[in-house]
Amino acid sequence: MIGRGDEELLNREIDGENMPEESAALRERLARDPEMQARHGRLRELARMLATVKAVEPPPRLAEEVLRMINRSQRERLQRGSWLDALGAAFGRTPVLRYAYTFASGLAVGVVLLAFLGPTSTPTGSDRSLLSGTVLPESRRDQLQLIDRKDFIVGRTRGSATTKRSGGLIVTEIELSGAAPVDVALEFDHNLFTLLAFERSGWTANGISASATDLRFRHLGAGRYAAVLGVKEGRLPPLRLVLEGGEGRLERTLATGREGP
Amino acid sequence: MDNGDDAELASRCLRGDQQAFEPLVTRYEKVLFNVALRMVGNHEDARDIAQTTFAKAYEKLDTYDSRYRFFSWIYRIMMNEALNLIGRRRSHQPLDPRLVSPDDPHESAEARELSERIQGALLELPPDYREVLILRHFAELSYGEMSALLAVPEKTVKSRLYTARQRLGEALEVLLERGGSR
Repeated sequence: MIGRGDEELLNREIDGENMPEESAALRERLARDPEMQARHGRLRELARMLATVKAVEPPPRLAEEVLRMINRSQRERLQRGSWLDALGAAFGRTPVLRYAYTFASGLAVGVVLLAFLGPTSTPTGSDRSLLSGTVLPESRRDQLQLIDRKDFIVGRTRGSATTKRSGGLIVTEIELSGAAPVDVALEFDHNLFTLLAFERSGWTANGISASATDLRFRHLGAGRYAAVLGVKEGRLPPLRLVLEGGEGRLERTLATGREGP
Repeated sequence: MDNGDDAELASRCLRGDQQAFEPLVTRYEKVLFNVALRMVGNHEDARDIAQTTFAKAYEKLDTYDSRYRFFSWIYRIMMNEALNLIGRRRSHQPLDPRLVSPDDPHESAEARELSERIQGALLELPPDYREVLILRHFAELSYGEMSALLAVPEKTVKSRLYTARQRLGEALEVLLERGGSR
């Protein structure tokens, strides 16, 4: 008669989970117990049959499709979400950083918007485009005026950069497309400009960092970025855009409207 | 699989490096796809489950606790997806022919039939029993690993596994007798 303990011993043997002394004891038992032998044979046969079922290769390009899904979902979230979400996403997904940056950026933009636009210009969720003017209300976004545009090629990376201005806000848009990574830096005079927000259209940038004098990130693929700068003074020097990769280095100045002497 | 490496990749994703997710997908796509396939018995559903699992994992990465195995975490997401689908479907679907060794066109008709019968019998088992058999025989996990993965005591794993084998054996009685007489 096979009891629960015997059954457990047999199953553990099939699964390779018995200790050597348990296996030895079982072998002795099997040699003198036909019922145990039959049960053991049956379990072994079942395991053998299961082993004949081969693993199936996952569909080709599953990983590629997954990454495309993630990209699409991120884009949709940025398009649907509030500008605070967009700002949060721009600063990475670590919760503490996300909330801290989102809060800080939101506070800074709020202060600037209040200062320049007055209390009636609160943005709504439906009137935002993805990049340019995202943090600006519709009425103000229409007022953005193109100040400068530069097209460039660095190795196999092509791109353009524009500066647009509306009162005390400057929006710098950078569009890049290329197969090799490029380090991007937007440099500015901290006495005259304050970086308020940075946005991106997808997940083509990493290592995003900002200081009082510059914004830096590494770009790969095809992506669009926007930096929103608040202006402290009326007379402004140009911004400096630096792109550097394994295939070359490039510097461009971007006019901001009211150039200093 | 090195969980330290998994945790580092997850951490890079959280810092905005989306490319770091790709090695995690390629590392686990085969095992997750196969477990999903054996759970739901349908190639298209298994692909959808695998895709949704990875997409959800990416969305929820900030809830992953790197003190634990990444695979355990993503496996639970996958199994929830699979069980949700099974719950929605309820009725059995015809067995997907691609379940049967699509990589080997020269496989004998007998082997194909055996594979189909086993998959059919697996699909007849309640999900809890099906799951332990799949984890043991297709993902080759130990009792301890299954216990951690399923968040149940090892005793429960063993008990489910024995009962699952008992039921599967009954479902495949004829085949077992045929095999036993060889």
